[in-house]
Amino acid sequence: MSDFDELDPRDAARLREAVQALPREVEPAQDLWPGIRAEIALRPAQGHGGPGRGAGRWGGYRWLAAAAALVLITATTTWTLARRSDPAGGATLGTEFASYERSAADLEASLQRHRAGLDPNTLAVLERTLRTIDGAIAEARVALAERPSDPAIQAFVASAYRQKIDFLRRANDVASAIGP
Amino acid sequence: MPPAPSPSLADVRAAQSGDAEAFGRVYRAHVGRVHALALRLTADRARAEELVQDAFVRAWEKLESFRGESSFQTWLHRLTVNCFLVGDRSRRRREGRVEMYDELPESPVDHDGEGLGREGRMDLEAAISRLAPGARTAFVLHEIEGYSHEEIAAMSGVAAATIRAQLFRARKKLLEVLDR
Repeated sequence: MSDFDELDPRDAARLREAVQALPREVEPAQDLWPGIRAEIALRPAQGHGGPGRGAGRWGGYRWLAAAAALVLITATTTWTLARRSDPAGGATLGTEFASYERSAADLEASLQRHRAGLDPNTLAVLERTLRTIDGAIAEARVALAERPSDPAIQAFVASAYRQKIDFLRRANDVASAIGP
Repeated sequence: MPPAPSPSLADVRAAQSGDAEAFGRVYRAHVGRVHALALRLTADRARAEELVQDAFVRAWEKLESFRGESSFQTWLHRLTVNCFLVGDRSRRRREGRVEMYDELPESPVDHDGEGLGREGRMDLEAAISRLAPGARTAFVLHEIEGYSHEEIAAMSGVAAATIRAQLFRARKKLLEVLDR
């Protein structure tokens, strides 16, 4: 298996011995399984029809995957359409965005109260989806700061906020239905 | 550290049928070895954890292709290596690095303090992490994982002669460390 042939035999033996003394297992510093489990819940697997097949175990947050996909598709579509159209100017955008942020903060606070009742995997997917949406909003806000009068970017930011609020509303509905 | 639970082929088969809990047991049984491999290939804790997650998610997606012709561990390790090589190629393209894989400078990653090294003493593990990426990959795959030069060449898209040269360089460097 190993070929230390070009080395001095004593050197080869020393190196081989050192290699064999290396630990065969190194546990990660944190448990990676919750993240993996949340991830595989979103992905189809070959041959077994995807994780949704397994009774209700995954069913609780399949809607989250669908919501996440919807967010991305809708945001992209909005971006594309906005580039073709010319929405109204951004005079009231600051107020509009502030209103979205207040609504989102209220909904997040409400969701926070239901956290304890949520399955950890559901929670992981939910948080990841929110991070995705927040990332999209943050990137769009940076772009908007550079080009504040660009109607496409204005429309994209507004759409991302609306998607976040819609997602949080649905998350709250589910959490309040199953939570304490 | 308690020994990892014995990998069960029954769990693998159950996971192939879509049982995510069984796949969780497969994860528990194998994560230590996969993480050790990931840590040696990447020489970076965060990237190693990402690689472990990617590998297990990919394994879930590809479980159907495991036919039992090799051990599950062999199958999983090869999949992990492929994830690493694909990700590494993408990363190097993103970073605009040249493809002269074997001529990159040595890794600046410092493993002192907690982690691979011990109390500032350069051990073999830390020395492997300091090898140039190509040499490190060749050494880990050949000397620790047992792949042949030809297998590594086929997986990495690097000529077998280059792999031999990288191995030679890696062994020389590591022997220097052992001699200190």
